Amino acid sequence: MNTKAKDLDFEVNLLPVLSVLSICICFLLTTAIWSRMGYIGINQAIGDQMPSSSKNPDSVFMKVKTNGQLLLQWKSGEDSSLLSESTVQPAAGHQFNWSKAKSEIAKLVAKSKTSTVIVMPEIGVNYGETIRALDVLKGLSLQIGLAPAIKGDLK
Amino acid sequence: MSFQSPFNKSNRSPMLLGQSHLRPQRSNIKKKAATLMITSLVDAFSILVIYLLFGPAITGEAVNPELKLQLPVAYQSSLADQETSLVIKNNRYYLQNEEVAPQKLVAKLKQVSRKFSDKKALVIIADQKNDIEKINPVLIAASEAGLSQLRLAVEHQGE
Repeated sequence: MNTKAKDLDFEVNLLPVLSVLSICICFLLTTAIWSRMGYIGINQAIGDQMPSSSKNPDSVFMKVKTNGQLLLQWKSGEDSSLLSESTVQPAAGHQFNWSKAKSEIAKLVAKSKTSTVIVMPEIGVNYGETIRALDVLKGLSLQIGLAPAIKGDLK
Repeated sequence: MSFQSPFNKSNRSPMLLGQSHLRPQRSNIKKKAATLMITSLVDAFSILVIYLLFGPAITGEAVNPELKLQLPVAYQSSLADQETSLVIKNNRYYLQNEEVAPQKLVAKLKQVSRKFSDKKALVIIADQKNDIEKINPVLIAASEAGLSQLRLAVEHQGE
């Protein structure tokens, strides 16, 4: 009787389970992809999904140049005349000065009272740098657009 | 005078055995076998395995390593959902894993845009070292196809 009672009170050996799980964790940790894909949403000014409006609003442009300069322009919506312009000079080694650009664009947007900024890269500008420009503008909670790259010197 | 070896069994017990007030040791107390609670450890490990298996699916789409693209890094990005993607790789365009000639981009995008629901948009996936000129045909084709909502894929670095 006693031996039967002992047999019923058995314990599952969990050590092998633990070993298998440890190996699983090690394998998954080494093969896991930690970088996640995100996106930057842009509203293109062209296309048939844009809402129609009677008057064109003023627009602010950020022109990204190959020499590291950033040209910030505020243009009138009526006749595209230049209302204000500023240039952000590159930092050391022709690197874009994004911190200065951020403060300058914030000033220009506050002055122009527009919330949409269009990025215009020059042909030869890196795609990564264009994304950096869009990222800076997203940080200011602005609506952003991307114009196709233009050949030659941007003015 | 007899010499008593220190290795003799009778001389091994410490002199203060059984005198301590903190842990009185008595020879008649049975030694308890130290048991490790493995069940809770197994539970924790199981949760870790489940998280590592399904984590990327829950927290956002992982960057597909097969693309072999170095996506640009952005801090103000949103996490991507499963959407229609256009990959630009080695100056070639792949719409939903199917190669498309630059001349046929507009027609193909028009086909795809008909299937879009309100929230869906076209995701452009390109290497960060690409010249922006390579993106031009897509931007122009998207506008001709009537797509105003575009999404540029980045490596998410935000919270």
